[in-house]
Amino acid sequence: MIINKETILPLVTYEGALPTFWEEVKQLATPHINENAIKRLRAVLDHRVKTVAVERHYIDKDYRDTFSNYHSKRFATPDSRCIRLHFFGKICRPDELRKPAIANKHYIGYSIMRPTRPNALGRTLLNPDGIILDGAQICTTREHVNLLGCDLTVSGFPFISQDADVTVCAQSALWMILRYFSDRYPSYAEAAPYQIGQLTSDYTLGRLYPSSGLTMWQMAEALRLSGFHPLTYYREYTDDFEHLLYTYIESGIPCLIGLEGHVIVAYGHRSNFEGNPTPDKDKSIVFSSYFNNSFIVSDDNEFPYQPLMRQGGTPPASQYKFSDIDSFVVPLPEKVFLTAEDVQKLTMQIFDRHRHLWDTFSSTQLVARTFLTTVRSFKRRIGEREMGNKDVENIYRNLPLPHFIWVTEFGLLDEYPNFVRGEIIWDATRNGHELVGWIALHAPEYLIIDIGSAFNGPQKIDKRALKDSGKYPLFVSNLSK
Amino acid sequence: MNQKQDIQLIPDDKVGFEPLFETDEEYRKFCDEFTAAVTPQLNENRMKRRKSEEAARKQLVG
Repeated sequence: MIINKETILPLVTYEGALPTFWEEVKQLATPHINENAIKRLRAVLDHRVKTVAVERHYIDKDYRDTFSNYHSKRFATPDSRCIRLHFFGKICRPDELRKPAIANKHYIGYSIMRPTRPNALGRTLLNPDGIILDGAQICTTREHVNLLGCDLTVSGFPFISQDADVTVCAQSALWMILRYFSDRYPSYAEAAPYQIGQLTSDYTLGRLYPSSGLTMWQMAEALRLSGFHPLTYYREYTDDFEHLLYTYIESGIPCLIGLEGHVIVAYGHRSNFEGNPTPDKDKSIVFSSYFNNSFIVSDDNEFPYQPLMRQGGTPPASQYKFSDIDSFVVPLPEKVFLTAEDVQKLTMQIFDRHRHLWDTFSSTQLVARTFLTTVRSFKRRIGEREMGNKDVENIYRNLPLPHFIWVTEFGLLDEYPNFVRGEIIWDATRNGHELVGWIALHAPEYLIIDIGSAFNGPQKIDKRALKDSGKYPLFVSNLSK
Repeated sequence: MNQKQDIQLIPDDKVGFEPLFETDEEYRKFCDEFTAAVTPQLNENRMKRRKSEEAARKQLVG
């Protein structure tokens, strides 16, 4: 049913028939919306949206950027304004959308309809609840939305489709990653689509606009010029390719995923601890990536939050499978000098050399999970996790640590993924050849720490016997469920 | 001038720490063996990353 049809904010409410509901949305959002946009929105919203608020004459900062720099220069000029659709999980009356307490409770998110063809779907941010599968974990950011004076909040991963002129899949994928970082961290500047294209102007092989695509290297350069220190990995030159991709995503870093002629963004994963076969008994350590059976991706030709499954899947899953991934680019923060593959070698070397100290771990299979985090996040969760031992909790609290740390947690296979028993911590601001990067090794029986480096002196590695150590929860901060 | 370095990590700590390595020689041996074990692996990682970076110049997407 359409309410307030002739106003700036008409509503469409669900009356039991989805085709009618979306036909009414189309009627109100025409001429900006098209069938392609409706099909994509239905893929993620059909089962949960009950009201669509159609905000007319919306000035979208990202579309206005491409309009001013490109579309306005055409003879046939499209509308400079957009239509913003707001989605609610409840049948709402107009007066309820003026009350933040009520409107926020049911707000799913928004999607901009641009007057661009063939892709009308512009900037989009949707709450992933009810879209992603149970057990999936993703990077999320939060935005504040103002709907005619009513403050709303939505968390999710930003999405945009290409306009096929200023942006193709390469710029769209870059936009999604850059917008995630600028929304979430104030140290990263916001970049609009045309600006992103300009980032590659010194390395372009031909004209910039209309874009004919970018190389993975140009995309890495665009990330470098945006304040990151990107790393590039190709399957044919990388050991443990999918494990490394998983490790970076587990660290809360969304990655550009290179496919044949296409690029998408991966920013989450989903593990299956029951469905996967029991790890080979000969392996004393199993990495947590062993249980991962899908990455959560956004493909600008599709819709957000698609699972890209190990063996491939059917819609709404991505058409791609793990083996289709040729390469990935990681936008590492500036001060992370130690790479995931290097820290893996270092950590395993330390672990093997001290395994004899760990009675609890000597006779059972272990699960190891490696991730990057900030010391702020790590310390913030020390109190609630208790680290299995009061002394370890106190020492970690008081120990000066670098801004970024690599952590490898160790848990017993039959307690995973609920609990762990120890961890190795490594300074991510060191290079791999500096043994002084080793900060701590915590096992149930011992805590070994480099007290010297912690206080800015020469390395001084001490150990402390621990009594009555127990299990404790995994560190969870980088990704949201 | 550096700040105080012999700081207690637990107030009024009764248990304390002991050195992981009993002698300097033992520590140096550990460092040498560790470095010898990881250096070839780290160098190999670096070479592979370099090859990936070269490959990235050729893959056009979009």
